[in-house]
Amino acid sequence: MKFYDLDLQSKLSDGESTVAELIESAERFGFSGIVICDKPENLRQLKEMIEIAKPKIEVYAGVKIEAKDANEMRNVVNRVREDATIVIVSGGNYEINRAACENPKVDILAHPEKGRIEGGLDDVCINMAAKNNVAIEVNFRELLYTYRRNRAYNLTHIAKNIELCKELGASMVICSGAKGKWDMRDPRELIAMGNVLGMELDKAFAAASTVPQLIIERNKAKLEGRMVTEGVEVVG
Amino acid sequence: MSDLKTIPPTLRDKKRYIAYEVISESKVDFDSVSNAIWYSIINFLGEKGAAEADAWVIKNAYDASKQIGILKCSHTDVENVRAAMALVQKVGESRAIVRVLGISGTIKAARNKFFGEKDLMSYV
Repeated sequence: MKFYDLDLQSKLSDGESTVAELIESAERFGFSGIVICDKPENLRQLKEMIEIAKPKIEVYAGVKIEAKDANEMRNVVNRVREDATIVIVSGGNYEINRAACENPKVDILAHPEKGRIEGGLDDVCINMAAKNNVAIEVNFRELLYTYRRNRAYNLTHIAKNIELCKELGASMVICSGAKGKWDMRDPRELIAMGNVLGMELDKAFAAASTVPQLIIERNKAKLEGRMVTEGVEVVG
Repeated sequence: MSDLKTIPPTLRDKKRYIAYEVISESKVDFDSVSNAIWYSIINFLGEKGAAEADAWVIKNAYDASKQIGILKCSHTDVENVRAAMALVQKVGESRAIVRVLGISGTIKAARNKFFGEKDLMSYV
């Protein structure tokens, strides 16, 4: 089975490890592919560094957007969509969560529960996410670096989001959200965490393998110009 | 006083052995690994959950040179223990990752399968 981790950050943004270190770690853990998501302004530099590293696995360059409001988010998404394989929106603010779910150009909404007293998603958001193919992320790092009461809150909120997504049919991905090589985990451990939080085991496996693979392939087809519009693809 | 009599196999608790590997910056010994895993299990599952998981970090099975070892737990709580082990970020003073190599029903099978050890039965 092919495993993917879609949310990694390197030294170019807030992370502490270089691109080469992240790739080495991913190879060790048996990932088939990873996506390194840095700030929009570093995208070109990131692509160069990936080329220099000469990875044995699939490595793609993505963008993680941390916007102040929904308008800024939309502008940045429109600007980077043509270049980035994966566009992740860093959630937390309800306005941004909702705008990300309503935008078909966004691939993943990361940690919608960050810094909130509830999950940050309602049924309106998740219905829109299901319609627009926006995947909701289970962020492992949110659990790794919180303790006691805060971790308990995060566990509750993520479990609630998983339940809502299951009920309303939105797709989910499990990502490590790592900002360095010491935050990365074996794919099977991420799946175990998803399973503990209420996903069925097969759904948890899909969230770390087939769902991310589908997102990457869809975007590759779009970027290479093979996909004309949603549902129309140039085959021959 | 005689010793505790062995419970018959049908009445014993079912268990699984988790083979793990510690990836760390510097060398770590068994005591710090055991403490780190226990700390994580109690933090994540709580005292009651840890009691139900029936975890036991086996001392004799730890290989300090390769940093691999075996942990025993109840067969129903493998996923919980696995998630708890993933939340370890520090062992002793060193940053570390505990990675599960695999799960097995006996210690012998775990050693053969995941540590690459051989016994005479491997050649039959």
